[in-house]
Amino acid sequence: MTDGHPHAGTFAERLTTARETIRRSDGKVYTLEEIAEGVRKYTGDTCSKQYIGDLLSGKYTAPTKPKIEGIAHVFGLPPSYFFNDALSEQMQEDLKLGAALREAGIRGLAARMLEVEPTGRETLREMLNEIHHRETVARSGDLDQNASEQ
Amino acid sequence: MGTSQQQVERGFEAIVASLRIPQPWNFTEFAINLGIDSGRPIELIPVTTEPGKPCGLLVSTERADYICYAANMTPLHQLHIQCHEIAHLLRGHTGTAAIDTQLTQLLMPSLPASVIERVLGRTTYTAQEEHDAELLGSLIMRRIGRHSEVRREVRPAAAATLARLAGVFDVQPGVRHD
Repeated sequence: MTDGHPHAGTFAERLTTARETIRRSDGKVYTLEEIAEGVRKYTGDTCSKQYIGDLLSGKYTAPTKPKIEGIAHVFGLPPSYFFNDALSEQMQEDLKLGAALREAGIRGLAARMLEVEPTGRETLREMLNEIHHRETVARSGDLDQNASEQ
Repeated sequence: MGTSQQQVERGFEAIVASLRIPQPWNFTEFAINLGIDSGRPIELIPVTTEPGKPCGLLVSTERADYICYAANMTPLHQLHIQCHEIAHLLRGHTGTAAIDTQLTQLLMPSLPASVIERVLGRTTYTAQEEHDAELLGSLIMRRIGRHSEVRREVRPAAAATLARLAGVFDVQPGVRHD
């Protein structure tokens, strides 16, 4: 099923990536009950938090199509995130990059683009790596300073 | 537009007039001064990019603002990028913790904008804010140009490019087309 897309992962892995990266407005992950409630509202059918937990752990591997659509809806993703290996692999990569930006403490980003094309992403990632490096150095510098003052 | 747009432009003119412009022009010195005045360090990161690739980036963290720019472009082109990023800073766009939608869509092309906002936990820049930054950036360039070597360096081909850019970005007062 994942031929040619070795990083697309199982259903449980796709769901885990979505839950870890797409957060509530307060930055916390959605609880199992919140996901289950969203699915119930979307499908008009039953869905327990235990069921969502079992999907995340990989105990259940084949949810029904309406349930998958309900789960996708909760995270604002197209259902194809769970069905289409090629798309899912790309989307998971993008979700993880976004999560890395959030965790790096970057609060603002602006760019002047002359042309938007995929190969430009490498340049951008190099810039972000350099910034991450400088932030790390600056932070360790602050720690050294605090240590020497004590 | 109309009067409100004129008020915006007058506000921008006041911002530009208050800037400390080094004589002769030196972007590094300008950025250091601006960082001192604002109380937040501005760090410059020159990078080498291929033609046509993204060439300017403003990244804000809790500690500092970083301006990345393509060092292998013409001086005039570099200046255009630098002034645009500075304009975002002066407009306080990073203070609202906003992230450029064009950039996030380039970085994460497979994701809908609404999902990107939820991943980053940020709102993204509006087109109006981009327009404002472009206008203010062009006004800064105009003031620099008055006092520096930059204008004299402009070759006919570059001047044509500049005029074309001004047209693209709908800047009325900045550049003479004659």
